Amino acid sequence: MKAENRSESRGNRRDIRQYIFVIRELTAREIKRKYVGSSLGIIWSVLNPLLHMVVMSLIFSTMFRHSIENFPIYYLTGQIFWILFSGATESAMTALVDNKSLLIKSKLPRQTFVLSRVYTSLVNFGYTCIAYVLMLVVFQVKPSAALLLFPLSVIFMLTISAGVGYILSVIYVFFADVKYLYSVFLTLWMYMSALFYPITSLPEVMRDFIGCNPVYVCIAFARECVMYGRVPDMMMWMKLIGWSLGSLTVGYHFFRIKENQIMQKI
Amino acid sequence: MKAKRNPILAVFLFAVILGLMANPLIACAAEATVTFGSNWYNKSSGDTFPVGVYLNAKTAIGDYHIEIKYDNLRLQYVDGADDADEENGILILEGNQNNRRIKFWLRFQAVSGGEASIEVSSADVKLRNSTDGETFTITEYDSAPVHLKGEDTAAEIEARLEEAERVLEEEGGGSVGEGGNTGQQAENSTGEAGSEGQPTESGAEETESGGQQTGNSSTEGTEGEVQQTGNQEEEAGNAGQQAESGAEGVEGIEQEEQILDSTGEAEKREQAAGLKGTGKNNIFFNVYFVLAGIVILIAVIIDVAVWNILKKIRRRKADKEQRNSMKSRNDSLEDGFEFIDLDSPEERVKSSTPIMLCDEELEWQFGRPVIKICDVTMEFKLSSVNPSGLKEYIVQLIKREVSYRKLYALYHVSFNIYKGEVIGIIGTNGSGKSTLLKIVSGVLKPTSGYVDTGRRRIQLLTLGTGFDLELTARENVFLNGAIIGYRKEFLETHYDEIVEFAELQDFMEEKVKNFSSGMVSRLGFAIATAGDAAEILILDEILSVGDEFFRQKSLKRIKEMIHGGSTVLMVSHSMGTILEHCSRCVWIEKGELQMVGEPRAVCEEYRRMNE
Repeated sequence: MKAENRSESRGNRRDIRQYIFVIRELTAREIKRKYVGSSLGIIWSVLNPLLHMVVMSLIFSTMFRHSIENFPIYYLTGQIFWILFSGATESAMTALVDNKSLLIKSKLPRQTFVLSRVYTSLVNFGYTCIAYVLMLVVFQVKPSAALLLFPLSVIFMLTISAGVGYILSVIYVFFADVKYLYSVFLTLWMYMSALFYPITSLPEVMRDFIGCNPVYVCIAFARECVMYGRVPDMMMWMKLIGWSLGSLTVGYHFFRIKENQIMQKI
Repeated sequence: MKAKRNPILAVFLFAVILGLMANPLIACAAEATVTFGSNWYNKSSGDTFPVGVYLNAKTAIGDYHIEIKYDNLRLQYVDGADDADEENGILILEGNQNNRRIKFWLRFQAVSGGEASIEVSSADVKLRNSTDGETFTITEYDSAPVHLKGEDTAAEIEARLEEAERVLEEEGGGSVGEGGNTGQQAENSTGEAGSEGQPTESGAEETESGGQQTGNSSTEGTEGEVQQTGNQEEEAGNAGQQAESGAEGVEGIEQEEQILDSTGEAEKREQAAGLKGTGKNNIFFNVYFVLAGIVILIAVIIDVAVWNILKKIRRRKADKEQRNSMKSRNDSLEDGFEFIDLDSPEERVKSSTPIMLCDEELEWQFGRPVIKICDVTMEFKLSSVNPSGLKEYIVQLIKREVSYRKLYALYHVSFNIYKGEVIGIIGTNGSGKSTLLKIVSGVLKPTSGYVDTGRRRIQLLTLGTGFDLELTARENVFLNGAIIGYRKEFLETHYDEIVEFAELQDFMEEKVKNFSSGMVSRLGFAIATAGDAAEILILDEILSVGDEFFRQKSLKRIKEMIHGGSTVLMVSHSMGTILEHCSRCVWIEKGELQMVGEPRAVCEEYRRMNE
């Protein structure tokens, strides 16, 4: 019995390694596909947020001169997290339908496909971080110990996106219109995330409302760590931990419950 | 089911509690505060840097008056507040606004290195909603030390100012002699700072350097002070220049008088140090939060782990029960037979269904079945009207037009498959063959019943699926292999074999979209059969494609695999293939199992029915 257990757990571990391999292969495919035909390829992951930053800085930095210190970095921090989140959720949404043929063929857990899309976003984020670090140096942001908390904010963002991605991917199977609804919703969400304006310039009600937005909290968390060299306060920690655990568990279980129905539908 | 939901609920509750706990924290702040944007600033000499000053209040602020004191020897106010009065290192911010939060973006230029500080020296706020119009004075002042990199040119000015102050004080006392002493003290301290041997000038008197002894002997009551001054100079550590600036000091008594208040520097520094201490406390406080977060995370992880273990145990128990019930059913069946007839097997053939008997015989022959398909029913719900959009869906939902039609793709199908068999599955289109294969391969879960394949490796091979047309053949080998379940190392070592078998050596860097369908299926077959590890191979119409030579080759490969212990399940519409290769044949019609047995007999039946 014991030996059986051990062999089973070893089997599980091998399975997990296999899933990781699959996720990496799928991710490699996504990235190759994303930049198919462009001559710069993956470099766009670095350039794109930089160009956005330049444009937004040109437009807004004079507007918020008094309220935001170091506007380009303020915006860039928000922007890269926003791209991570929107990219992950939007691509995770169509993961199941796009991979229909693979889904039917394999015995893999279906989560693999959703997770691979989220992971793709993370890899993209990694490249974007090159630009980010470069800009931190250029704008002379002094590194501090709090910078070590930056990866944590990325993890929070990823778990939140994975949870949202699970839910969206299931809904998309049954109701394809969600794609268009979500793109509109994302626009609203973006403006609610205080990417390029200071949250203090809003009326109080809005401020409290945006304070509940996990994406905003995550961005604020990262800004605290990177720009101001402070350890974020208790509130942010609790909100982020609550949000990420909540979204991941809800998403995961929603996915599990609907899993067989998905396969039938597909 | 109840137990299954519990952990979700727990995590939910946990999140809710977190949210609730987090809310009251916002409220507990002072009536109003003035804070700086950062606990401290690290800059270097010559930098121009912004300092954020934030005035926060619980309710809207009306009139306000804030004085900010800064080290004007090392810092120079550039701009920021539009209507700020600046004088003698004190910046006055005044105004009237209607806002809960007012912020100032003050820019300072560092003119020297060293330690400086910026602090709020007084702040009065009149809250807009206070009925009596009382002015609220903020008592807790924030301050922020500024560390400036670079030469501390201000230090000796500072020291000199202190000296000058003392001179003034002592002169005020009227003792000329002591004044002289002070001059010597200044000299003395410079000497201590390290420029011994260099002549220096200072004060009104000219004395030789190295007058330490003089200084020590001449001063009576002020010895302690001398020591202090010396120490300060040492801190500054720029003895060589001090000698020069000594001369400046002489001419600048007026200037010295002007900046007398900056002699409180030492005190200020102490304050700054104290503040740094509180800053540290804040960090410690936050560290506790982090620790608490980690503990919570660990707790959640343990929770999930325990839950999974429980689930596994429960599942195993359920399996065992099911197996037991199966067994007892079989037992009772056998008992029944024994009761009817004990010795004649012919009678048993008649009384029992041929399928059951067939299985029992085979079990006796081959041992335990590799695949046990037990009472499998697959039910699809088809909505009678397919809503194409949200609007229509809602409209139909309201009209209650969305009704579902049940469709049985498989209806109570059971049979067993034994090791080394090649099973052919036949049936007309839409009879549920592919659904059965999907259920066996584990892609679909049956609505009721179960398929037991143990933990064997199963490969489902269908045509043209699982390839990404935009990728090259090489990338597809890895992607497809990964999905089928090959390890990375395995794929790397067997890559050449796969390519060779598929005969696509020259096309591996080509995109698959340029391949012909025959090439694609060859590649698919090569990948799927690359490993000898597959114990169960499921072929969905795979043998009917490719040219004659490749078909021969793939048949040979499949025969090898059967020889190596694989069990094969294949679907084909070609009777020839079935008759040629299968050891047994299963006929499914409209989801129901019609016949299992000798391929020739089953095929004949099938033909007859369709005619």
